[in-house]
Amino acid sequence: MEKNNITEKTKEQKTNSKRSFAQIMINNAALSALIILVILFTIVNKRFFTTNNIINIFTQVSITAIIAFGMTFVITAAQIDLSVGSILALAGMIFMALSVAGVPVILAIIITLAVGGFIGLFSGYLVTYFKLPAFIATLAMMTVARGVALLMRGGTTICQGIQPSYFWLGQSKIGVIPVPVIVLIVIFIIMDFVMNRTTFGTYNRAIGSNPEASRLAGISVNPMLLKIMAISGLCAAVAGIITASRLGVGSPITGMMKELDAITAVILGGTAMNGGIGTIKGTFIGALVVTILSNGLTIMGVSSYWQQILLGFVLIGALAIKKFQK
Amino acid sequence: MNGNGKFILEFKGLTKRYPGTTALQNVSFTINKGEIFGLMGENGAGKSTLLNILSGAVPETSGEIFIEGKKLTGTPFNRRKEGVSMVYQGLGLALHLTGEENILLGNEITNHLGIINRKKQLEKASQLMQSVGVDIDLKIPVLDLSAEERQLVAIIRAISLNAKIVALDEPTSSLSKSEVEKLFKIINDLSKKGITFIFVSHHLEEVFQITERLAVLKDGELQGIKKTEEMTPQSLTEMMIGSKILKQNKKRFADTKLTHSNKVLMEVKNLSKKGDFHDVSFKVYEGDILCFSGLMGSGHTALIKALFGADTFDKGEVLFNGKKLKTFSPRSAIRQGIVYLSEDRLNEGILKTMSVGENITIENLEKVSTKSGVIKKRDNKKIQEAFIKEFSIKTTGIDQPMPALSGGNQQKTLFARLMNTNCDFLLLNEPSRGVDVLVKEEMHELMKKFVMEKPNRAIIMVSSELPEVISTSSRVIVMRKGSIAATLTGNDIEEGKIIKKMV
Repeated sequence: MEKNNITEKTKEQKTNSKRSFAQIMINNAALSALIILVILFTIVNKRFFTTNNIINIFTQVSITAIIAFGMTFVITAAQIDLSVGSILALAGMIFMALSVAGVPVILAIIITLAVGGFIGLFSGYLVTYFKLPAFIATLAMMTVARGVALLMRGGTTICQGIQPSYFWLGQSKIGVIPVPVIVLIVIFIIMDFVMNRTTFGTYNRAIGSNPEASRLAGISVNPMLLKIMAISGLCAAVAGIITASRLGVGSPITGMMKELDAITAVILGGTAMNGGIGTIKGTFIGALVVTILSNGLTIMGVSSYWQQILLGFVLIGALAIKKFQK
Repeated sequence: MNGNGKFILEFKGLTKRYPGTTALQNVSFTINKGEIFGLMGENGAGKSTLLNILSGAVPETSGEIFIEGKKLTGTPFNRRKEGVSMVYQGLGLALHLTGEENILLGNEITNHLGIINRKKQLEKASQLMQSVGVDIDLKIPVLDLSAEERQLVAIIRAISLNAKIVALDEPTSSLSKSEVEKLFKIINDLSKKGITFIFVSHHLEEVFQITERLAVLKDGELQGIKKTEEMTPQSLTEMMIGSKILKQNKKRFADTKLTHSNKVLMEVKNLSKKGDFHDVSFKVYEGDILCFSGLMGSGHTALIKALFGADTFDKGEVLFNGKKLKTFSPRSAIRQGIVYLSEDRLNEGILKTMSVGENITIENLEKVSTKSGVIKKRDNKKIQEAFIKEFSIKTTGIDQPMPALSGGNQQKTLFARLMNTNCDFLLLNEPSRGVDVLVKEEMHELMKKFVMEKPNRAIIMVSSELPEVISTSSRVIVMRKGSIAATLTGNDIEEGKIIKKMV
């Protein structure tokens, strides 16, 4: 018994001991990567740390981050959603097609979001009731959604006859802050709240941690998964609307590989690939790292090929640090 | 056996600790060459741990294994080359490969380019098959073979690398009676050729039929080594589930309280599930701690799971508070006030990535949240802290990760989780498995308190620990092969009588 007490005490001391700055950095790989990148780029290039470029970065990050927020719920539930990039393109096409058809912008937003949510719901249905692995189900939806987006105008963009009101969401500013950034921040606050402070977020982590234990604790696992997949689809549709509005056209080839950016951001942020741990704040930081890396390197004139290689190594590095601290 | 030089395998002070529990505690014994040796024990006794350490699948915490006097180390494949082979319950076959491929998997006959020589492979596999004296089509995928043929392929694979020792984990679980006889003949023949078998099964008849000696494990400790012919099913059962630890505390809880009222809380009528339990009927009264006792596979575990809706059943009905239950799912059971504690704490109980506090309130988050699902942080925290205090859960606080707790404290946390719901009916499946004596007694006190505290409450418990059954239950239902063998009350609740009904 005494021995037990002693080991328990040492455990206590370990968890209670004040964490040094170095430990904080190691425990938040994405945050340290972010800080290092910002310092590095600021030193190397004066154009990096300017109000303009920072606003620019946040505008760029909005698309990836919004998708990644949805993806955080999915990965926390130990699932995956590969269809988000395609949903983004399809949502953009539908949004602009509705504009051409003369639909008021509010109604078009609602319809587009509904389509995105529905595709997510359908993936969720395949996962829960047909017991398909999420990887397969969303891989199928990825090609289906992309195919439909391409089919709509025979592979070409929708660029003529678009109502001006459709550009507001992507192109205007409130004060100095672009609307996409405001949308990003609003969604961030909501999602972070949902993840941390609601029963939904808690159940989300529970079913990712252990679906059987969750079922035995009375959590309705399948309805939860449906909702989670729908949220992911919805987020992708939001990103699609913003993208189309910003570009001023509906393009069926937007959002290619966006799912991988989003997954990278989520994993960098500290959400567990095996589920059970999820952080929206971390995802936001992860998305910033992905974006700043490419923004800073672009400013420095590094080719996008090198950017991809570096991003891969940043991801490996972040996960290696995580492994190391264990 | 006592060091006369005849033994082939020696376990020396083998210990395996996992965070929170000790799966194997200083186990030492020897097995003779050519022997068929039984390894006995209930669920969680440490049999699998012992086999996994022997095969090299998991590392031991301390202790050594010697084969023919030589220390056994290295990977599972190395150990196979040393002569130690396993046939796991799931057989470990690659179902889409053929019998021949499975038998020689990892040991293929190839030319210098690494290309497999099919002809020679088939010859070798057939040769091995003939040495066992069976005839199986080795050219078709294992998937298309019968259960018996698959079992044999697994055994042929096990002996393919000059095996000296073959461990068989529940080899008869999917075989019919006549198939079992055939398998036993093959095992006997091979043992005469000098191959040593470790035989694990929960069918007592089979153990008595085939083994020469046996070791009994309980809670990770060796209870004893016996010659099978000197044992009876009763004395073996006693060794497997009886216990010395709680002897001083044998004063039955039944004596201290024990009269349940005549009010029926739950009535189970003719409940059946194919292969698990058959036509089971019983009543649970207010104030009851009704305990189900039986050997592994007697159906009591499947029954308690079915009552909660964690598993299904085929026929029958359940009345709760006079009303027939229509839907059976964990969620609806919890809504009715029926809650369940799983026997598999790690895989069906705790949420490993979440904190101690979250683990407590997860089953009834509605209590601490608004209608729209926003958790009231302060209320949540207050409840979590209150439970940690009430159940004296040893933790650094509500935010400590769940896996950091010891087994006993994890179990108390799970009990707190149940108590946080508005439950009046507990289904406890092995509530004190893998916890130390002190926590065990705390659990028993909590159970007693639960039924006495308020009216209209009762507990159904499944336990494979007889002392626990005897000291906590108001009534005992003994199950045997899926049916109720006896219902014991009052002074009839004693070890001898229960064991007699079990076997």
